[in-house]
Amino acid sequence: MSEMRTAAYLCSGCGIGEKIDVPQLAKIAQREGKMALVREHAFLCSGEGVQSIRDDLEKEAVTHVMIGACSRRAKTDAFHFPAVAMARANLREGVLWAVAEGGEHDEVRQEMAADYVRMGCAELKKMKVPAGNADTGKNRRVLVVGGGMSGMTAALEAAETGYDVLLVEKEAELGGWAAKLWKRVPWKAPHTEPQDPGVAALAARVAAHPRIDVRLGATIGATSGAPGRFRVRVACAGATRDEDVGAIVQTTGSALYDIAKLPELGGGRSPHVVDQAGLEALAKAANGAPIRRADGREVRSVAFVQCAGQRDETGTHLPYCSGHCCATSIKQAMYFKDVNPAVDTVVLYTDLRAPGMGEDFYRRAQEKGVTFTKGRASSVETAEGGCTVRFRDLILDEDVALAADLVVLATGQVANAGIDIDLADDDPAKARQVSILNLDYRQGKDLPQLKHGFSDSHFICFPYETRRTGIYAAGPVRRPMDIAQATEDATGAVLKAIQAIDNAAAGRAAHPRSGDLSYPIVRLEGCTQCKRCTVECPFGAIDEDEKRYPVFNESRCRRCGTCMGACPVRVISFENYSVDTVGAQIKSIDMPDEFSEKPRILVLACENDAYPALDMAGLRRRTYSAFARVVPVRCLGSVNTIWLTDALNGGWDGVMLLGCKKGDDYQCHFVKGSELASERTRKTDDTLKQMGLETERVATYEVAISDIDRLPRLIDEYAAKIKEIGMSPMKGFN
Amino acid sequence: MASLKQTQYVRDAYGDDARSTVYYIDIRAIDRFEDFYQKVQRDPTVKFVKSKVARISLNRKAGSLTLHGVDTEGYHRYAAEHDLVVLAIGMEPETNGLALPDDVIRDSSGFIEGAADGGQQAAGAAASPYDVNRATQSATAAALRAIKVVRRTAGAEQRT
Repeated sequence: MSEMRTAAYLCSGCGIGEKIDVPQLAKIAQREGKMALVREHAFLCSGEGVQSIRDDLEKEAVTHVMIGACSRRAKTDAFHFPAVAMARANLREGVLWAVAEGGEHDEVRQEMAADYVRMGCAELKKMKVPAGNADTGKNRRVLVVGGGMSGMTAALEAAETGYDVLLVEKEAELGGWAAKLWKRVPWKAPHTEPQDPGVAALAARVAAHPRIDVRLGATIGATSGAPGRFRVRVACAGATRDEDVGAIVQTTGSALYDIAKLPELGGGRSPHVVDQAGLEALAKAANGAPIRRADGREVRSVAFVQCAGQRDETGTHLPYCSGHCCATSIKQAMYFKDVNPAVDTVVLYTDLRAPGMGEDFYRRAQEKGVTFTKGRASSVETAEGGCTVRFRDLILDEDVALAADLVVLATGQVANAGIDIDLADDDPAKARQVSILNLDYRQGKDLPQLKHGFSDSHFICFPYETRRTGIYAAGPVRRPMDIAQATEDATGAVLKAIQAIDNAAAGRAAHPRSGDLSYPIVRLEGCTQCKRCTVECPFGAIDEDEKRYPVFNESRCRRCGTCMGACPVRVISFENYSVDTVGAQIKSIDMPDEFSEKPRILVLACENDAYPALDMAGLRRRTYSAFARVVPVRCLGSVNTIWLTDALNGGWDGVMLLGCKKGDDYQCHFVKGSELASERTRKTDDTLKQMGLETERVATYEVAISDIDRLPRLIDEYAAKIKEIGMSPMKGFN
Repeated sequence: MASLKQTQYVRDAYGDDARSTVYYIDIRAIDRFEDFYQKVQRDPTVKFVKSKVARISLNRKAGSLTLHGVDTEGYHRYAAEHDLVVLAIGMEPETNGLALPDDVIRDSSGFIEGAADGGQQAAGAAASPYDVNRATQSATAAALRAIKVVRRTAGAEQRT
């Protein structure tokens, strides 16, 4: 790009011009902001206003545009100039609507608007137009790991959408868990009778599809690369072959919780106590005839113990509910009733969980004479002839013993998720785990697990997003689920996979900064090989070379800037977002002196939740202190502590960091950003003390997008707090 | 699940003075929602009663409501006073009562299963009484199926 030519456009529409002296802002943009061109407009987002900007881009060769109008989140279609760098000063939501009405506020309102113009100009001059990543992979093939119902569904959906598929299954046949079933729970109307699992038909469709390449008895020896250019070493029948793929769907399913861990319920102690897979095997062997036990005796009475080793509050067994097991036991009880209605079938449960149309199935089982007893099983005694189940009947409120020929323990799903990369290397549990993907990523061999060993990622808002771009988990490896949900899940994961492929080919970021062409640029000559960026990247995007310098894989990167926030020597930046673009804003404002009684509060607000919530607060005219100056950041994780020290040295009276919820139920769009930020800012306490400043001068808050009323209150409370502790003594030194 | 969540609204508003009672048949806290259920069970301000409430009467003098029924765990008859009663009524598809194309398949409750040729689909709460999480799952899958249909159709048209 040729040399920088700047222009500022100041809009007086939407009432801005009535409350804010726009000509004065124009002077500031010119004299202090040093904008080459400064224009005022009464209605900038109108066709005519936008055209005036376009004309300047063309005739005046403007390369950098500062728009002082509404929030950067508004009118994005109108103010869309992808060929130039652009900064936005938020005069409407951030000043006009955020500052209380009335003449007594005119002065502070104007000062706030003027600072936003200064900040916009300062930011703009540090920005560049992202050139885009030339090093993109263009491979469009989808790798599906695991050939059960989820994997076969994923393979077919991808193939039928027009993508080539490589399907890798470790067993000699396709089908996984579903292939072991006699029947499956009905998944469409009328939701009343067990259905054929349909595995053979699906496997035949997979085998026949010209776009699907199936490798049976195969495992993944190594995975390297990034979306659009993954290289996978497939080990199959003693030979290995390198395959190139663009994205990966991991459908490795789950195993049943080990029944032998439940000896008090007879698990592992008698062939007459089986898990749900054991019952399926007996039903398959019976092939429609009465079901017989291992000793050949026809089963006349059967007890199903729900939640066996699940929903455990003692920390011994699985703490969660696997969801499918109630419907599975209902189905299995029907296996008996459908052949011989005289067989006693009792389901012992505490909460019968058959949501949605599962209720029809539950009702049908009651019609067939299946007994449902609310009770908590305490023990199962086994003898040669049969079993005795002892339980607390929660309805009759008494202890009951139930004799049964066969007991089925409804144990839960344990994800086949590979290695838990968050375990310490010397943890014996880690040594027993076998990797599935064998990623050569610096942060570990498999997908990070979120909770209870499942490869889930963003639980609440974006269930498909994992922390390894281009690799998507689906089915019960992601969270406990039944077959119907798993096939739906696999279909959705294919959408994510093809999005990743398309984004990688175009050099664009994936969710949540979809379409962003910027990516981290590192000035390696300044790097001290401290490894913070490679360790902290929430997406494992950064590897290390043999000299321990970071190696960025742009297609894996989500552009959150956590690496930039981590870097102690500040050598990592984005073309349109850097230590300088924010640092320059912090230094640009007109700082009132210590005696002015006009504190300045820097608000670093996460652009995902906090900043939109502030915009919405403005929209609802929830006013807040005019002493605040809000700077949107990509994620709190991108906040480099130099911004805090710069601000405090520059006389700012306080800094508020507004980010998303962290921890197990995190809402951070970049998973770890807000958590890392809070760790880093905890360390700033020492810095503050060294500077002789109160620790309250930097405060971190967890904010959700719905905190529209709370946020203005937080800012006001913080402003009151600053008033209480007094103005910063650091003013006027810089 | 929504009721469990709402008990925590009451708790947030009144702290330890809050009193919520959940009358339920089965608590369906599937997956890790079990964690949340257990947390609410440990909350001393929340009581669980396994019962289908038989009758609600207005206590005009006290300005409160009396819930009558039988706690099926142990068969205890109750008449419990509450300031406010929240009815956790179920979800119904918005399309119930609307005329949809003939080839749209609906289940016994009116939720849309799809169409025989795959050209029409439902997602989220139109397809099944889903929670937010499953609705996004359903929507993501539906988007892929729609793309598939469009690509296949476009491909077929190019060939002809």
